[in-house]
Amino acid sequence: MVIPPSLSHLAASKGPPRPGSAAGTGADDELPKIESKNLNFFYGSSQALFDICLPIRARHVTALIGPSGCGKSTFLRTLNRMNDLIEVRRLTGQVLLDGVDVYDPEIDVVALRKRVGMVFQKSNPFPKSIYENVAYGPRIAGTNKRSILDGIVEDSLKKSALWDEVRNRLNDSALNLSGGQQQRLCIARALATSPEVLLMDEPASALDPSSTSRIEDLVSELKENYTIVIVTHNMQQAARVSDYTAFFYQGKLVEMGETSTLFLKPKEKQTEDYITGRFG
Amino acid sequence: MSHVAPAPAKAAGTPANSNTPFTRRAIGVVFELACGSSTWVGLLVLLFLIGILIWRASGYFQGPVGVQVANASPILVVGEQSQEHLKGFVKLTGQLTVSKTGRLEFAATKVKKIRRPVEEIPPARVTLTGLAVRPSQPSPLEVRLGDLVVTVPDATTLPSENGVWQLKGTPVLNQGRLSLTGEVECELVEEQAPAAETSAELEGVATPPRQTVWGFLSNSDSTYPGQAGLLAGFWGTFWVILFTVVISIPIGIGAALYLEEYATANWTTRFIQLNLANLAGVPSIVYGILGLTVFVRMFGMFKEPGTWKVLGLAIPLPLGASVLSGALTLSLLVLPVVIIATQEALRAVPPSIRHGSYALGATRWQTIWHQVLPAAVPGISTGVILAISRAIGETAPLIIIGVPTFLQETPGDIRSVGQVFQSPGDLAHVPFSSFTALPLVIYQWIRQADPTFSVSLSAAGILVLLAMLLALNGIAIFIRSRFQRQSRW
Repeated sequence: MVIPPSLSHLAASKGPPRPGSAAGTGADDELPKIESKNLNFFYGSSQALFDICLPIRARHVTALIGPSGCGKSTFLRTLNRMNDLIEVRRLTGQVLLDGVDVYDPEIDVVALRKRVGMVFQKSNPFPKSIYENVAYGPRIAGTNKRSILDGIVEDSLKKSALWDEVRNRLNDSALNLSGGQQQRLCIARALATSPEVLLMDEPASALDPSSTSRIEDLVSELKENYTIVIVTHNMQQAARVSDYTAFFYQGKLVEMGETSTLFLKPKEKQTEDYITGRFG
Repeated sequence: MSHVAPAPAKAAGTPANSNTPFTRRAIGVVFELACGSSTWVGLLVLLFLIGILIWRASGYFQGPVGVQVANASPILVVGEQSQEHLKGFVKLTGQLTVSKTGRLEFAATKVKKIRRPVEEIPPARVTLTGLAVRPSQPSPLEVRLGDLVVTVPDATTLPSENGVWQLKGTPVLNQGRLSLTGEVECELVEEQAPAAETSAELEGVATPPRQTVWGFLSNSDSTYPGQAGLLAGFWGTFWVILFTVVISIPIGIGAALYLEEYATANWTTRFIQLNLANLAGVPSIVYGILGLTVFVRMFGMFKEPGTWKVLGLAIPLPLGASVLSGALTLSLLVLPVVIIATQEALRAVPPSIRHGSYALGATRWQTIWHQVLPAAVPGISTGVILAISRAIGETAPLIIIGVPTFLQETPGDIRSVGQVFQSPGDLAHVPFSSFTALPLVIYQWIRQADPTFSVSLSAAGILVLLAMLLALNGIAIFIRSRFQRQSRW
């Protein structure tokens, strides 16, 4: 099923935002959790994204594929405003999270990033202990009670399937973990702030096959509770883990649809060429 | 690499080819040797320097440094046999000569100990016998006695003609020059005599000739080499550097944080950045002139020096050449270096750490405080301590702002660590006290004519200064290794 364009208008007509709609009812799942509308993005004078209209369904995995430099990472970063860190940038259009424009001047970026977590391509654990890495998010949000933090750390590490491996060495430096463990720690760290959306920027590209499959299993488990957007270079990975796939090419959204449809019966010639390996 | 192996025919055909495996290897070996030898040369020079310093300084602590006969008349005594006896009231007989370095040397050939009750001890007397040359002019009243020039106070006592004369008086040694004070007697012994050397008889209370290392560290400066020490310079340097650290670190790190993390890259920040690099290279004496105007004289705002009483503390206005002025001046000197080093350290923190923190919903300040600063601590502390090491050795700006080179008082009259705990109230006076600093004391010693000052004492002082620098650098290495153990990426 391709999400019909008409669905995108529902979000706008929904009226005021509903706070705390993370654990929404089944009806909410039919609405896009995040939706970009006519999104253009410029690095300085060069345009990186052209008029992207992309709805992302709640509690499903949406994969963004495309050749290098096609703008999929840039798009991902517009969703939690990580692109704000770039000094020379310009953005037009809207990104709606539960119907609210995240680029509205009234929006608190810090609160937004707590709702929209992010996992990076290269694992970037803080040079601190495993415990402190996971507890950092809740801590800076004002949770200081040890018993609550202990619970959050254990819960997050369990969700990221790392608990059994590190339960006895929570105070070791996170930098002593293997690459795959570090990436799962970063996922645990993102989950600790109980986000509604999880953005993953090629989370397995630097990992060996067994670590990659663990991350993929994790993504499939996490979609029960989280809306996941995953950028990947690996089309098999996109096919394995995602429910919806969007194909980007040269800053434009070429095609978006249910993963099985897009991979088996692509509508666009460019998509077909890319997924059959004729370019990219 | 597999493609490195050349085709043999090609190598044989072009002997001048500079890219054969042999030449490549030879270039590598030569390069390695050159780099290695320069390292070794540097190390050897350093060892040579320290060796010379230790050798020069040790002479002061081992050899006959000088006997202070009576309170105000140190005269160098050379002669091994006399060492043990040179205590109490003594009468020394020997030759008085001027060495090549201009040092007045008294080689005692006979030492006689005189037992007398303390209250009967007369002032020191010296009796000089030698071929006197009548002074060509009455002022300064100098009599040449052999190769010795003796200053005598009174024109009437001058030898009126050439010949062997005997001069008696209380000896005073000032900058290597002997003068006679008190009742000076002159007597013609022989009209024509072959006496080429000046013999002398010295009477007075002798103090031990040997300076101890502890004495050197716990005495204040003195005009007598046997009593001179570093105490005032050490405490002065300690307080000035402490205040410099307290002033420059918060400002320097704050400025670097603002420039690196907050300021946007525009014309103003580029201008500031460029000028920081320039300021780091400005000669230190220029900062001295700035400090003199701004802190010591305060632009001449106060016509007459006054005091401003706050909480029972008298703050001098303008500040004058006080510890606070010195610290503020040195802070100006180290600030650009601290800022640049901190900026480098902040830039070295990978952006992924910042992004990870922002992505978790951290504010900019939380990211800086919890992630960026801890990761930058090794770099910051290294830069700060190197800057402080530079400040410790600075002489020129302190001289410009009018810090005395000879001073026996310590800031706040604190002479030991224990005193700080006994009377903490003294600490309040420290910033407004006058002071002197280690490099200034060394500078003052080197300027002396007496080689005991200009060679031995200054070498010992430089060793203490070097030891302080090495200790500081040791702290820097310790902090760096401690923080780096957990922060690799």
